[in-house]
Amino acid sequence: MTVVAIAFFTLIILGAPIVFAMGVSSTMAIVSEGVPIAIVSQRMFGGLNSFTIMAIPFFVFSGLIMEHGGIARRIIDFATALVGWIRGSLLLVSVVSGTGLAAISGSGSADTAATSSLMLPEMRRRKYNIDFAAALMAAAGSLGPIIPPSIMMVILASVGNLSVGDMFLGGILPGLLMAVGLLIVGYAHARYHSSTYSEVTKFSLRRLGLSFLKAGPAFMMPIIIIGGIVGGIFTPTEAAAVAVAAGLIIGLFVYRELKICNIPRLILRAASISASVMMIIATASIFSWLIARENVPSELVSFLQGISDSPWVFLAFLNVGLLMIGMVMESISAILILIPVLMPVAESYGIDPLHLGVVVILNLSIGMITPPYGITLFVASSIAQRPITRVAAKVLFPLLVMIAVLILATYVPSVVTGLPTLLSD
Amino acid sequence: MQVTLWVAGQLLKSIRAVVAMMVVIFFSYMIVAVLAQVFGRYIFNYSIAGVSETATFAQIWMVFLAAGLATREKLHVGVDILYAVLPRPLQRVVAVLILVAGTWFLGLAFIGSWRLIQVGMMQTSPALQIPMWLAYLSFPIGIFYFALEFCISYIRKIWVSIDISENEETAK
Repeated sequence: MTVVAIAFFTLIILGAPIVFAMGVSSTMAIVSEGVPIAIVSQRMFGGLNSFTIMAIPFFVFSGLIMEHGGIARRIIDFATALVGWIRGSLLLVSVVSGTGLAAISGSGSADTAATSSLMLPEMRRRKYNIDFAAALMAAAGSLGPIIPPSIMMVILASVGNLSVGDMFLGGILPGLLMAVGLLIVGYAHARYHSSTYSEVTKFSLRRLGLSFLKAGPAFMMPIIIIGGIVGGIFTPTEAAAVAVAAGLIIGLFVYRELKICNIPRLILRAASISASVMMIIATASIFSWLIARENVPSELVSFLQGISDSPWVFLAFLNVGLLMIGMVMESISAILILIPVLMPVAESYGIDPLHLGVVVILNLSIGMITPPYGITLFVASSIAQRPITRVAAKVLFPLLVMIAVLILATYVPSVVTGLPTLLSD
Repeated sequence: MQVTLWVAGQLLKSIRAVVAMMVVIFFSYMIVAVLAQVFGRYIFNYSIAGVSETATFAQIWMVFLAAGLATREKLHVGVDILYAVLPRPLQRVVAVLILVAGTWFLGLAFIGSWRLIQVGMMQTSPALQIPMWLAYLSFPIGIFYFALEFCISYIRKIWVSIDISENEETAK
């Protein structure tokens, strides 16, 4: 196991793509222990031979459709009508849009890219503090994996043998609480620097109604996805395929911003993005096979139980550890490495696996806005054309709000498990 | 030499075009198959057996083939904070190291996949009795193309002065 760890971290530090860091280090362990090499291929194949993870390419594709099909713009129009009349309007609009997009797409960076590229020009014109705005949009974008649908949750559920539907429901309340917190941060910022942020769009009920009607087809998507899964009408993978179909119909025939001839290009893009994620899943299944073979979880259980048998202490360590991991590691590989180890440990502390799963997702999503490796922070600052260090300097308050919700969700499990329990009965 | 390079370039172009086409076909099939499953169940009240099995096989083909495409689009992410600040000679050393390690891994996975295919000659899938080698075959083919693109991208990193700008256009 030490071979794997040393090789893995060396390769990561040297900047090797994660799929190779994972593949090379696990294969080294396989070879050094004299296990037949066919195991490598067999495990990789097995990792991909799953109907559940097919939700990943579908959600990636529906995210791209959303980006190119005019759906994002309708959501922003609706958010403008909804909160654009309040001081600091564009900040609030971007948080509401980020939350709305999170309910349609499954990835944080796609949400951040969509809101930042559409909101920033107008923010510049109104002389907003661009660094703060980018940091806030990065934070709103990081709600993408928390508010369903979520690619990260599909992966975690498939590795940890959890119900994707329950995970999705568990993320709703923490996600919305974070959104409210970010709205407050945005409003407070606008109040504090009041002169710049006074320009607002006047509230009009007519405009609100019209923009709602226009965004209506887009809002059907989360209803179809979540409603369908919770109602037992279809599996998450089927829901994702239906989301693709709905997105295509909306983009091609309702908003008419998508052209048939562009679809093969979007498919290729979706396939490449999914393949980069799913190849990590494939190589991680060699790794998880090693973990199980070496009995790592049970050794970790006895070690940790020896330190403290309180689930509270364990959860505190878990949060600190995960926040640190989230700072330096890409979230999907973190899930693939950690969940096989963490699940048995958490169970030994009597922690509900669903609760643990959502807490892990919350932590790693927060990791998306913490430097140095904060993916949505990176996306927002590159679209804003600002140095990432400047944007990162403004991320403190959004970050604190998200951590506050994380602590609440960690120590009041019903924040997470309440909705799934309520709806499954 | 010039001719060899030209032929290699043309060959690469056609391989890429074929792979891209196959990826689009497999991806589209996955969507259509899963939708057919849903509509078959609710609208026609008719269950299409084994659709999810064929869709899953299409997914395996899609992922192994698109892994190489993702390399071209620089989608296989790593943490390159340290790499970015290394002096150029050291960057080259690191790139050689990653190239060697990565090729070693892909090579072993390639060899292992032939054993898988040998087993697959005798296996059939649980639902539709499809010969398993049809699914396993995606592995060596995909890994081969992945290794090709991986080597091209790292050789370029090590030796930037090589002029492959012709291929750069198609990468967009």
